[in-house]
Amino acid sequence: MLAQLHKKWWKILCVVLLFYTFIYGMLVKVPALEVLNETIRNLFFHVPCWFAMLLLFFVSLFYSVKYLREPQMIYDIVAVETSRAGMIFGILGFLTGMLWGQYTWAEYSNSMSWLFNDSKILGAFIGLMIYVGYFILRGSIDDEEKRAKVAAVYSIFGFVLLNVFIMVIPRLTDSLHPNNGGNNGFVAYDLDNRLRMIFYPAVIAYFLLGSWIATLLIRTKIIHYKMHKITIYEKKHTVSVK
Amino acid sequence: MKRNIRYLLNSFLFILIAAADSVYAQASSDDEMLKNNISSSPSMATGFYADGKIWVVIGVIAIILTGLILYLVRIDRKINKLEKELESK
Amino acid sequence: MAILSFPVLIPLLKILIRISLQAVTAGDVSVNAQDILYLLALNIFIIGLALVLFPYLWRD
Repeated sequence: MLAQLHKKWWKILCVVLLFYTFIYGMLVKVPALEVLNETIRNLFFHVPCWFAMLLLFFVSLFYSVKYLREPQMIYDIVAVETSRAGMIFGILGFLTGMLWGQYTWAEYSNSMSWLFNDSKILGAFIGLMIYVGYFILRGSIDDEEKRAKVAAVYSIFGFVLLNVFIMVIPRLTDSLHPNNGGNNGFVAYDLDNRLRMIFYPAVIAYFLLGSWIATLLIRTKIIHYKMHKITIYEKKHTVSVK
Repeated sequence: MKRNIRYLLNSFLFILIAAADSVYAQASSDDEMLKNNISSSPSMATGFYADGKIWVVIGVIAIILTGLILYLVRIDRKINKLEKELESK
Repeated sequence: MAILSFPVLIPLLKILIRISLQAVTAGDVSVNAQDILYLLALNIFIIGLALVLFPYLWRD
């Protein structure tokens, strides 16, 4: 993440892929399915939100671990801002999932039954709440190094639990989602031919968009730190022994 | 803080409209089902595509996407300028 | 600070409420094996994570 902060190539790639996803996502022929009808197109718009969120949280985890090994402030900045971008995509994915589920899976309208009947939705909600707790935790500690260390530990905890609640537990219990709780996987949706060609670029596009937002936030933070003359990265003095 | 909220609102709006557009597609196909009443497979929005209305949807999505991307590029350029100023001081 | 762990408790509470309701009302007192598996998995993950991560917090 840090090396690519000022490069332009992946931003252009992101824009191209986003336009490709949205335009071809509406134009491609989709298989006719029973409950979903035409809304299977949300596969290109809603599911990549979650994948992008997981990838962004993974980057945040990577830099959190890096901070624990070598306490440089820049690693903490990257960790928190990528978490923030991941949080944005998580909330978007949750809201779009609510909308989609309300029209396809809800037993009766004006109910919260969708939240507690499906274990993956509940798991995603809990995972997002854990990351909200991450930001609250950061806000409650004043000393910078202590805050960075505690937040890094909490971020490891949060990422593992998020994966448990979204990936592991739904496969064990009943769920309406594909590939969880006794349903067919994505292969049943004819994902081999046409849909995959739009789905994978969509994931890449959303992840690049998320990292673009994250890099803008990171650069803003770096400017803020530099203006207040706070050291971000201290080079270790190389001591020659011989 | 304001900037973050604006990011959130803008991205939410464009994805919400993109998702909502697919729901419109389903609504008009129900009218077609009432007219035809013969197909055994689940109803899809074929009338929507035949009329050419899908291009309206794509136009809307393209305009929203362009607007958001231009906003991001503008913020990117502003931060570039700020960094250069800070560098030269 | 301890209130931050509330989201993790939500599934725990949900299953325990369901099991307690079954235990209190008259009727068949069978326990769903899936629920026990879920509780066990949740416990293993949380205790495991706490064991691994606590030394980092305590280092100072």
